[in-house]
Parts: sequence; C-alpha cells; structure tokens
Amino acid sequence: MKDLNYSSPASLDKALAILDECGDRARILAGGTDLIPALRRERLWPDHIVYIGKIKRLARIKVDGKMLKIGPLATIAELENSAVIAKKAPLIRFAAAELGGPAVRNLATIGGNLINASPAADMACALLALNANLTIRSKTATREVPIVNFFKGPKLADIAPNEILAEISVPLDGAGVLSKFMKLGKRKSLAISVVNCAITVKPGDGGLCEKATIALGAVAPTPIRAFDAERLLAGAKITDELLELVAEKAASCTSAIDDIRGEAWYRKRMAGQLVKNGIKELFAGRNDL
Amino acid sequence: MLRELNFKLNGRPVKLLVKPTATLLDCLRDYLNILSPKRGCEEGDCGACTVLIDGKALNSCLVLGLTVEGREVITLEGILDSDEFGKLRDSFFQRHASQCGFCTPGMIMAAYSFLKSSPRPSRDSVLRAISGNLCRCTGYQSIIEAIMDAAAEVKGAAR
Repeated sequence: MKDLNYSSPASLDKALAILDECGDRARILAGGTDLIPALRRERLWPDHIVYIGKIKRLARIKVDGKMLKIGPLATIAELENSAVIAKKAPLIRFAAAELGGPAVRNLATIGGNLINASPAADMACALLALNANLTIRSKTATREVPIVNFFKGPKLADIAPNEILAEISVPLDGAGVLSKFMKLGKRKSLAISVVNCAITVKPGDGGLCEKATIALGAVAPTPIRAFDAERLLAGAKITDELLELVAEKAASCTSAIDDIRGEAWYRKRMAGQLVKNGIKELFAGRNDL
Repeated sequence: MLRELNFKLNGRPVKLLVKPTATLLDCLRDYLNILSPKRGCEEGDCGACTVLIDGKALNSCLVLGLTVEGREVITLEGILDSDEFGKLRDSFFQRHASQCGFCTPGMIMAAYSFLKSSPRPSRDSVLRAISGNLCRCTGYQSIIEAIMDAAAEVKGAAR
C-alpha cells in the first residue's frame, strides 16, 4: 500500500468534518475485513483513512418503539449473540451466524457489509427481507434511504464519499412472522455466498401465507427482492404446486452471471430451490404438503 | 510518515513508531519480534494470524496497527503460563494435532478463546470455534479431539 494519513475521531461530528474536507480522497475504516484486503491489493487508492471504531454510539443495538435500531459498528458477532436481536429480529442472527468465520465475525460490522455492497452480502440480504431503513449523514444533512433503493450495482451504493451510514432501522411488525436464512457456499465457513436467501413469512389460518418477503443474493448485480414470487404467496394456500410456481418466479427474478464461485444456470436454479425449500420448511407442520 | 502507537502486548506496555499502512500482524512480526502469528493468506481467510484483542479472537492481518491504540493484545507468547494453554499443549501433543505447525498458533488462540468463553463445549461448538482456521496437514480430526480433551480437563466435565 502507498503511504497515507490516518485519523481516529472520537465523535461522529468530527468524522463527518474530516470526510467533508477530504471528499473522495478518504475512506472510512470500521472493521476492515473488506477495506484492508482491498488496500493490500491496491484496488483502492485513498490518501486518508478515517477510523470510526472509537465512536461508541455507532455500535448500539436498541429497541425504539416499533423500530429496532442498529448502529453500523455493531459487529457480526455482537448481532449473533444479542438477546435483543434473537427476540426481535432473529433473521439478523441467522444471517450473522453464516458470515465469514469466528474471527471475521468478531471484527466485521453490519455497516461495512452494507457499504461494501457486494451482491453476495449476507447481512444485506437479511436486511432487505426485513425492509430496513438506512439513515445516512453528512456534515450538513441527514437522509433516509429504504434499503430496497440503496444498492445500485456491484460494490455500488447510494452513499457519497463524505457520508457515513449512521443507523440501520428495522420495523418491528413481526408478531407471528417466521424467518429463515440460507447460504449456499463452496464450504461451510469462510465462504462468500454462491447464492444466499432470506425469507420472512406470516402464516395465517388454514395453511395460508398472509404475506412473505424474499431476498436473494449473488444472483444479480445487487441483492434483490423477488417481488413477483412474494405476490404469488400473498394470501395463498401453501401447496407443492404453488411452491413450484414460486420457485420458478423467484428464479426468473434473477440475472446471475458466471464467476469463479459458480455458473449462472446453477445460481438461477438454486435461487428457486432455496426459496421453495425455505418456505416449505417454514410451513412444515402447519399444513399437509 | 511514521506514527506513534501505544498498546499493551501480553500484559506489558509497548510503544512503536509505525507506518499507517502496517497491519497488527506486521507490527507484531516485524517490529516486535512476536513470531507466533503467521502470514498465511493475509486476507482473513485462514486464521494463521489469530490473536486476541481485548479478549476477542481476531485476524491480526485485517487489523490496522494504529487501531489498537490503548487496547490489549494477547498472542500465544502471552498465554504460555495459563492453565488453558497447559491443557491444550498436552492434548495437542497426545493427539498429534500439530504436524508442520504452521496453523498451530492460530488454532491454539482460537481454542483458547473458545475455552475461556464456552460453558459447555460440545463437538459441534468446537468445530465452529475452529471454523476460521485452515490446516493442510492433519485433516482436523486430531485437532478437534485435542480441543475436546482440553475442554474436558479445563471444565472438569466428562468427555
């Protein structure tokens, strides 16, 4: 890496002031599990690293009325072990448990996973299924971005060099909602997802699915919602036939490519399979399949 | 441009002048002659560089040195007198859990951290605890058995 400047501000305001001055010559360092390898491989050329790990209030996890508020610096391990998350938004815990390995989870942050904006990002997939809202701050402004609008392309997100992701809010309307996270990888740990899938369903009476959300990763330029498949499920009785249609619809939402981890046809097929199997398992025991 | 870095290493304060681009692994190996953490992949994918920072097992290759300012770093060199290490050393020996030895410091640090935090270790939890550490020699089974043995010893529990 070439030489660079380093700051470690203790407050969000100080950090934003530095970023405002440096513009796109600075990069934010949180956990570093994405940034440090990128710097070492010289895929990035910042002049200035702004380490925000000392800003403790960015690490908080708390319930605020009907919203779960997660600071961007909450580590993946903290999310995995949090009693609040387990109770209020277990899908986040399921995704956290699949990310990287134990040491990576101790270091990596949920904010970093979103900002890095990999199409295969595991936390991003879960938050997409949960309709999370992102609060993004600069020195002079605060804006709210629904996560469904946040990802613009591979490693591209709606955030400017002088902005910091300040908070992740998850709506808590989850009474009676079941969720599941599935990750297909080339190995069981330390794996970048070949396909990942986050599902929430709200079962109704008589084996009905009141509503569902389905997020898929590593099958498009960004993590995506399979809205067409969700529409098939809304208000429907869960049958094998319906699940086949849902699988097809989910697969048709994808636009996967071949890469070193897998081929497009495989990812497309697996997307459908994960959705089908995931919903089937969530409804198991609630109706006859 | 060199920057000053102060932190606690294996219980003692250290002061260094480091490049901002130096990782903690670089600082430990190149500035402090702490050679137990290894340069495996240097991208957080193998665990050979595992150390404890403020009690948490982290990949030192991913940590920028300057970010450990004021914090507490523990390496294999720092746990040699502990009860947990004694049991791990014996069980790794008994079970032939180390061949070339390259993964071993990282494995021991992962196992040490696990033993410190795990109330009732099971085989599954041992597997998970070392799921961030690659080994090319042993095929892992001897390492898992060694950690299970050490856990039983440390926790006084039945194996």
